[in-house]
Amino acid sequence: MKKKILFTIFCCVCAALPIAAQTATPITAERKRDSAQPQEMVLIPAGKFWIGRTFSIFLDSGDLWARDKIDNRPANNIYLDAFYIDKYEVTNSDYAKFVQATGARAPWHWPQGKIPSEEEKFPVANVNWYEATDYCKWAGKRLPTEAEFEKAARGGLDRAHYAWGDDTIDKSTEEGLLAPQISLRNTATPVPATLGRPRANPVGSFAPNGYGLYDIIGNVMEWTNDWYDNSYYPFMPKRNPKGPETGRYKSVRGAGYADQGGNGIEKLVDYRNFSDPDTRMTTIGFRCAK
Amino acid sequence: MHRLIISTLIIVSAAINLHAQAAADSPEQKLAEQFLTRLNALSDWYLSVDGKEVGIDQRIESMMELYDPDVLAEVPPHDKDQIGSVILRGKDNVRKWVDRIARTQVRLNYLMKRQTDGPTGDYEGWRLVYSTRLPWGGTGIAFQTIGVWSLREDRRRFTAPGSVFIQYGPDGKIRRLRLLLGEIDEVVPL
Repeated sequence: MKKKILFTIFCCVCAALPIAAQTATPITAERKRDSAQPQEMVLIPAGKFWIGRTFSIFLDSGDLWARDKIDNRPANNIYLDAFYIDKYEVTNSDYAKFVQATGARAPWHWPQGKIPSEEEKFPVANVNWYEATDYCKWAGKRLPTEAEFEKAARGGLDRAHYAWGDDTIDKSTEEGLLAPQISLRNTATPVPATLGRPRANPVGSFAPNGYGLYDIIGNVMEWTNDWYDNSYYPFMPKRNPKGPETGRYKSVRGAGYADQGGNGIEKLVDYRNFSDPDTRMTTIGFRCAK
Repeated sequence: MHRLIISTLIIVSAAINLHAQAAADSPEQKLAEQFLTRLNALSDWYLSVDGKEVGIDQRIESMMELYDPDVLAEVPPHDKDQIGSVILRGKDNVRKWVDRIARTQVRLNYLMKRQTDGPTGDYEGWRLVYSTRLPWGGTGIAFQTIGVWSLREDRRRFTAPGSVFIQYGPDGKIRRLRLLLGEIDEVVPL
């Protein structure tokens, strides 16, 4: 009798174990996925997208823009592997931890090497490309490539003018047809970005783009990992382009808080800029990718 | 009276012919023909029995002889994965473009087309090439073209109307080139 009871218990346990294991599997996988998701980063899915300007603007058609200045055409349909990118620009507070941990030089405008009062959540600026690269390495990340930045900035919108979508363009006017890059709707908050201001805003002051990224256009311009070459687009690789092998300037993307007027092309999501990698500017910051 | 009319007609038609002939023999027309001849010759090479591309480098060099080292060119996109003008700065970038045409396109046939004018667009002028002396020296020419080419990989054939604008320096080298093509259509047999 005792043997029968023991045998029955043994059978029940054997049967229960696989069931328990099966039930536990998804939970474990979910936990693993959670731990793989880097903090405050967004996964940009693998796939193709159009990089560069796919439309003409009046500066082209009127020959008002010197041909040799055009660097964002032709647009190319390219493929990128999936990658993570920071949801926010790196803040003063983030950068202070790096300075403290590594003894790196604090941005020159910090009084006595300390974050200016109440600017903890402002994007760090006055860091050159080398310092930005060092920060990302210290954080276990890297600077995004120029193509990664543009794909992330587009927020999943296909061939749009703006990171926030083209509904902001007032198409009822002649300007809207001829120069959509300057014809933004005249509302209280015409564009969800820090543009045309004397200084930056705390990160995340405006709504994010389609991928959930804040201040990808506006606030501070951002360093990318690529060298800048105005002749890169005509012959760029169609898979995971990483920029020219060498160069004089590094590519800088996303408009800065001081960009606004004129023809307003800096706001376009495909607008390319560049700077000497040694330069520290009050309008250039960065975010990291992985 | 009849004699007078006939004589006048003969003189006028002879003058028109002479004028047209003079235009065809003009140095500007020869420049345009030279450009198209060398462009079309980019597919004028063959594969040897062991798979070598025989003559392709010479064809490319022949085309590249036309360009100034600081040339600025605006050409159509290379493939279906590109949109918009392609700006080529310097001879090295133009060489990449020429090289790509030579290696990816066959049966090239760019022709000069007569200029059309008038509100109905049905008037065809007698001039093929329009030209001017440039204020900074050299010559500028412009002409309309019809381009036809096949893709080497699948032999699909395409055609497009277009325009060519070239500025030559005083040394006869191309300093500015614009080859603009309109809508590209695939040529399919009926």
